[in-house]
Amino acid sequence: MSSFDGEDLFGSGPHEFRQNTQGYLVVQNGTPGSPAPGSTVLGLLELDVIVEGRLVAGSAAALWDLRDAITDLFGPSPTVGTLIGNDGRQWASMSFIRYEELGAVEHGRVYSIAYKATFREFQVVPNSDS
Amino acid sequence: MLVLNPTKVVFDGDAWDGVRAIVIDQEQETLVEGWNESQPYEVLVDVARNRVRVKVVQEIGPEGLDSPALSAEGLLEFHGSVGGSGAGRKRVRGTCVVVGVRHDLGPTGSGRGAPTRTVEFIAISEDGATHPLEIEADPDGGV
Repeated sequence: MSSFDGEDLFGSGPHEFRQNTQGYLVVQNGTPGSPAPGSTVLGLLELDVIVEGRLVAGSAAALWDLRDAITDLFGPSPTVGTLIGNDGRQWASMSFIRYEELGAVEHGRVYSIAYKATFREFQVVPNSDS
Repeated sequence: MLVLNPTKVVFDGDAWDGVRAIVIDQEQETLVEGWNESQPYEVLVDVARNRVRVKVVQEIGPEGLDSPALSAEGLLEFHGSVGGSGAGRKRVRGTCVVVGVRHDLGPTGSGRGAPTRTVEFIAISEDGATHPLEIEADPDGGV
């Protein structure tokens, strides 16, 4: 069972984990009007882990409870915790940075909504004291 | 649902005679599906949006028939039973919108049949949550 910071946020419906682009941020040398050959490594990209799936519930109110459980994690600074994937893979010290709902609620036999949640492993964890 | 030889077919207040059959189909418009990560079989299937299509097949006499206009909306009502028998007769009714009118000359030559007109409707729901067609026991008892 997947979880973030000990909570089963996504288990109501099917969902998948994937890691975003990894490597370095590389930019072309030169500026507009002052071209220069070559490129420069600016730094290591931070790891993003993306969860995409559908929240599923038996009623509109129950679906709102699932959606609110996710968005309630957004406070003055990101919630940091261990993200555990469906296969048990663990990513420690992940910050929950973004949640997007992809389309409207669909209602047939059940109520469901597609979503995308993004977690980032910050090099420097955002200050939670602010 | 298939109703053969329905009786008392009325659309938007006009009685339609010679109706040979009425077909009611349900089709999915939006299918919600989901698979668990790395697993081949579906774990979620839900028809979020669907469509109720009604086709009325009617024999046309030599004088022909005025066809309803596309997008015409009205109450469609008919009585009948599955298989055309008298047992378990039902009354079916609902607001429907004309989405197609087609004609068929039928077989030609010595085995010539009567030409037919097929009017295709989509049934619409009052509130989006209730099924658009109301099906109940025939209050006229098949008379």
